[in-house]
Amino acid sequence: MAILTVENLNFQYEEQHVLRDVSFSIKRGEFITLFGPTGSGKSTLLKMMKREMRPNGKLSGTVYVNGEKIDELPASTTATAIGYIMQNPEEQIIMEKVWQELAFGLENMGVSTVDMQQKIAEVASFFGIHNWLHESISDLSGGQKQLVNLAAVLAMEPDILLLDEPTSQLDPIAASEFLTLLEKINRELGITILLVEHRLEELLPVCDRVLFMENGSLLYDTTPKAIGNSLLEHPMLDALTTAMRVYYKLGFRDETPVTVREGMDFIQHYPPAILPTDPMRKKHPPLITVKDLYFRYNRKSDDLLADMTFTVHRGEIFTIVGGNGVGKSSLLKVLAGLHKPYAGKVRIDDVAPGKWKGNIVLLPQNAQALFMYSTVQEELIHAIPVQKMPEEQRETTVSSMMKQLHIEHLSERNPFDLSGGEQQKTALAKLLLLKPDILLLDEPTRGMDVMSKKEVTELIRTLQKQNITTIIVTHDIEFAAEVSTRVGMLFDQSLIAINHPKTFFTSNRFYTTAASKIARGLFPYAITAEDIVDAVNLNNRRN
Amino acid sequence: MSAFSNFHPLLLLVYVTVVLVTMFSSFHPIIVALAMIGGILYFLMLHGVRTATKDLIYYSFVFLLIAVAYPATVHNGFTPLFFLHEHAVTLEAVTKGLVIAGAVVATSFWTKSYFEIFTTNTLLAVLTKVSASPRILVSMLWRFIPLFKIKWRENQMAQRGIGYYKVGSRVEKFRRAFALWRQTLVQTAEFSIVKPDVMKARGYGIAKERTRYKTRRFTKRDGILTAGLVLFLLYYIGYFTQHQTQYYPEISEQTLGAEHYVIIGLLMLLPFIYEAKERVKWRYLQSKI
Repeated sequence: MAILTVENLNFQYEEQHVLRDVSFSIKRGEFITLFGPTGSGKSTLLKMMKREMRPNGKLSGTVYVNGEKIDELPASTTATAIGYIMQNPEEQIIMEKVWQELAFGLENMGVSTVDMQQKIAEVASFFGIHNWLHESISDLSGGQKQLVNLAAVLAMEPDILLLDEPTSQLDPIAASEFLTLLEKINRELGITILLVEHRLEELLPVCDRVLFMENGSLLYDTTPKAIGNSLLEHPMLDALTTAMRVYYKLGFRDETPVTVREGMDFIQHYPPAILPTDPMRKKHPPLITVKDLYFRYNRKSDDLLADMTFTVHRGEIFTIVGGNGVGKSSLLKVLAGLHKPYAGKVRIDDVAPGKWKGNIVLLPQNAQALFMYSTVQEELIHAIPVQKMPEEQRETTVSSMMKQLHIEHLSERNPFDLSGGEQQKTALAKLLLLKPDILLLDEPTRGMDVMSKKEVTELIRTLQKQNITTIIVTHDIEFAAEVSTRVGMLFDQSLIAINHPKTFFTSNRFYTTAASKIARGLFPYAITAEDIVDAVNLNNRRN
Repeated sequence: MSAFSNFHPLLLLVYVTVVLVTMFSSFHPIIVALAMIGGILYFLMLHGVRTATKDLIYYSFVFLLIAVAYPATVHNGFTPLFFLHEHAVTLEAVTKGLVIAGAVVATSFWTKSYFEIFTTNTLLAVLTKVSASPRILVSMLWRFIPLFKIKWRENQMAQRGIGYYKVGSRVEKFRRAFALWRQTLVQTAEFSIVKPDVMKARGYGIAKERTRYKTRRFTKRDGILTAGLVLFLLYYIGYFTQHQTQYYPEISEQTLGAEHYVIIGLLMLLPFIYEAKERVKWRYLQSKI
């Protein structure tokens, strides 16, 4: 039986058609991924199914929950039967302590203390949060906060869970853990899940169905294996898993591999080929030199960075990868002169970062911290230093910047209401308007869809041609493989294995891109889906 | 975790009220001294000597400042000790200065310790007795301050990272800091307070009566102690409203018997004694393991 049915849903907001005639139905126990380009109406669609979250606007069509119209259900049913999780964990948190947050919904429903204790005990143990039940939520990490939200919603025993890009504010490791947990909830508890997400590499192998939306319409409703056939001409094809992309780009159809293992099986029958590594570019003069650097936050803490020495050349795109909490963000702050090392030196053109004449800007981990105005337009106009440009010229500069990053449709929106990826792009636009010479980016692709990632990659490459140096800190190894000229790994207080990305990712076995895992042993130096396709074609040409 | 804080929050509230009301209603040098000693000893118990030293040093300065400043400016009283700039410094004013300083320090230490043991959780437990809505409001307000601190630090760092404060004039720097401060305030308020949708989405306001996850039982022991404290308070308030120590023109004569000082002293030292007793008990239990 269908647990949720949507019939001819239309939604209009200020003359803008956000949803156009959307119809679909979800069976009990299904795990469904809803994806599509940013701004296609995915979040709005999700909100239509949670009555309390519906925005104002003109709505027509019907949503049925367990066969009954959602508008006719009592408030107690819609509150409990449909669980809803938002992008930003912070926005959903109401109380101060973890246990209060878990109890909040149950208390509202008037559940007796004894039942409540049992439910909370259960849910806390299932998620492993019993150890920090009495912590203040503000002390938790983003991933832990989102876990508390999930647990709090599940304590109310919903029939269906709606999640709106729940991982977009999390670092990739926390994101990956969160998605694994969702799969476990679906598999072990049979809770129906409808999830809006960009991270398809991890989701497509586990979900039952995919919905694809664009411009407010639901275009495709199919299985993970079949979705590729519909997207062949669409740029969102690149959102699919690496194995699928290789498969389709080599001209195959029908039975696509989805996981890394299936991808390996698929390319086995090709003869091996060695891709040429990029010729070493002419080296520019060194710009940033770090020598014997030691850093820690305070006297009593341990060294976060120790005995670190490296050089970044002008015009490089230098990427630093590494696990959680190894000090990547701190290293960027040291380079920006925001933290001082207690021993060793950071020199830019032979002077300290604070004294350097050029402009050095840092994109912080939480891009929201940069926003100060109520529209994107204002945010960007105010970013340009007042004396430097006349009024009219500023507006044209801002609008061309918005065009470049494809955020012109957001100009009147409040930057705090944007999705994670849109916020990142707005913040990036703000940084670029400051005309930087050195760009330090902390996790720039967080919450971005594939198309936005491509735009950012392109943008950074264009900047490189203008001799702007970029240093990126990221967990997103696919992005690192795509964009960098050199990659280093931060591990155990120091930067190790600094190398050309092709060499770096090929020599790694675990910490590497999906493409490199698929191509392992067969096509050395292939680290992206495109590289694998190139390698195969290289063979074809030879024969 | 302090053993004393395990009593019912209502009892704790009554206790601190009794201590402070007794002290202020009597304004008696010995009682103020007892309250101050009790407050400091309990504070030491909670924090350990090392961390408490900083506060002790700071408050001894506060004490000295008040104790010196008061008689230097107030010249009432009969018994001049010496003259300062042609004004008499009187015994009465010196004594009263010392008592005021003691009362201020005592109040500081008691409230400090009190807020330490009286966490949000216990506060909410008391408030739920009243009603659900204020309780939620308090919890959200409580979240506001730590959240603001975190956001402020984060925003400062982010803006410094893009050269926000790299401007020539001091005034402009200040203006910018203020703008950022205001923005952070609005941002934090939105995050922590404006959430009607989110609360409704989780069923807020549906059931007529909200239930509670944690209930703190008001035990017989709590009841007896509270009743005792209330009786104590009534008796001594009755007494001290009639016999509050007067300092001018002369220090009034004291009619309180020695046994009363012992009783009041025991009351003031109660948390310290209880805490010490629990520690000894704990040590004794441990050594048997």
